[in-house]
Amino acid sequence: MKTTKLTPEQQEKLIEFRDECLAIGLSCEPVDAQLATETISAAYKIMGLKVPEIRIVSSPLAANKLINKISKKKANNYTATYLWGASDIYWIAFYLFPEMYLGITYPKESSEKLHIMYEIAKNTGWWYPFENLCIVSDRPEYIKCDDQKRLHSATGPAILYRDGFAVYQYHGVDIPKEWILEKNLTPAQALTWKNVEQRNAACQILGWKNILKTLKAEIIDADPNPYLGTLYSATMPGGAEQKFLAAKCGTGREIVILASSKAKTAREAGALSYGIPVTDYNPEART
Amino acid sequence: MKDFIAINNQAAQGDVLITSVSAIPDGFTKIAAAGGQHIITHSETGHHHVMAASSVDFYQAANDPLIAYIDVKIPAKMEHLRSFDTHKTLLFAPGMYRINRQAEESHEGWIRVAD
Repeated sequence: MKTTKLTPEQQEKLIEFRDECLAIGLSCEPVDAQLATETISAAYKIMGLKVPEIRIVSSPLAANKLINKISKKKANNYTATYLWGASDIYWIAFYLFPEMYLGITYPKESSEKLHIMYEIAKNTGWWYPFENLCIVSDRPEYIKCDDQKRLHSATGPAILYRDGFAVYQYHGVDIPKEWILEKNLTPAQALTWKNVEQRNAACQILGWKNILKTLKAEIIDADPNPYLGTLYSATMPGGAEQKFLAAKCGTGREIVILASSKAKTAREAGALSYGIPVTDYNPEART
Repeated sequence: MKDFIAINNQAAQGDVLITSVSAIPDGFTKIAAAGGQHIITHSETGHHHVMAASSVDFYQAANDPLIAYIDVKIPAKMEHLRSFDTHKTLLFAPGMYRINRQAEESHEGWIRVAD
């Protein structure tokens, strides 16, 4: 029978289970070598494979270095893994909750595999399985998030492993570490950064008001509709004039794009960015 | 609250503008789907805008990556694949639509907005 509505008890359980799974995904406890070895061994057995040598290393970077050393690949070769241990908990939780609390039954083999993945999530970081060797990364030393649980730190790595391997993220967007560590980001760099998501992060790091002030940006046109935005003109380093359009996006964020030099209004800048005449530009919704 | 917005004539989802049209012009060819879905616009970071291939035919031109067309056979949704700061899903009625990808002008010329 299809479940279409959760009971109050199930809803309560869902929140409890979500929090338990979040704690697994964000755990920074050092990996217990014995537990990690036991769960990885069990996974190999379930797949009908010979249990390999299991080596615990300090980070995904250390795992890659070991793989390169063993396989005699170049030092900077990157081996991806799609087995993320604790970080796999998001999809494991999605399938586990109905089985554990909603009375959904999976085929025995699928259920067994799902549960071993759950055990691995509770006991390892990223892992790299091979025929005779399985490399398991430790968990990070810390993980920092913003209030929406997006990876975020304005003062250092958002994820730091005990061997120094670090990930830099700003409200969930991957950014160059120099922006945080060396604080060398300039307003002109921020506004012209190629990737618009990183550009948005750069503008947030520097502060929109500071960027406008530093570049002595002038408002050309401010449309009353915040989704059509405000058209600015600024003198970039080197003396060239650059127009840019700052408009609210459907997600509530302010997004900046470089605007056509021909644009005289914010609406016209938006239309030209899509390659259409301003008379044809009248979006009824922006998400 | 509905988890989508139904569009009539024109709407934007992130850097994608979708406009209702009466016909698909010559020069656009039907693109085969992969994995049961069409990637209507591709994102460098994997946060694609996608539609189910069972509901939609997707047309592209060889020489212009900024314009494409869709022929919606049955009511279909365009989804943004990102777990945070997600652009809300758009619902299309059957019909034909033009897809314009956003570009920006720097001193190096026009380039597609990368995200």
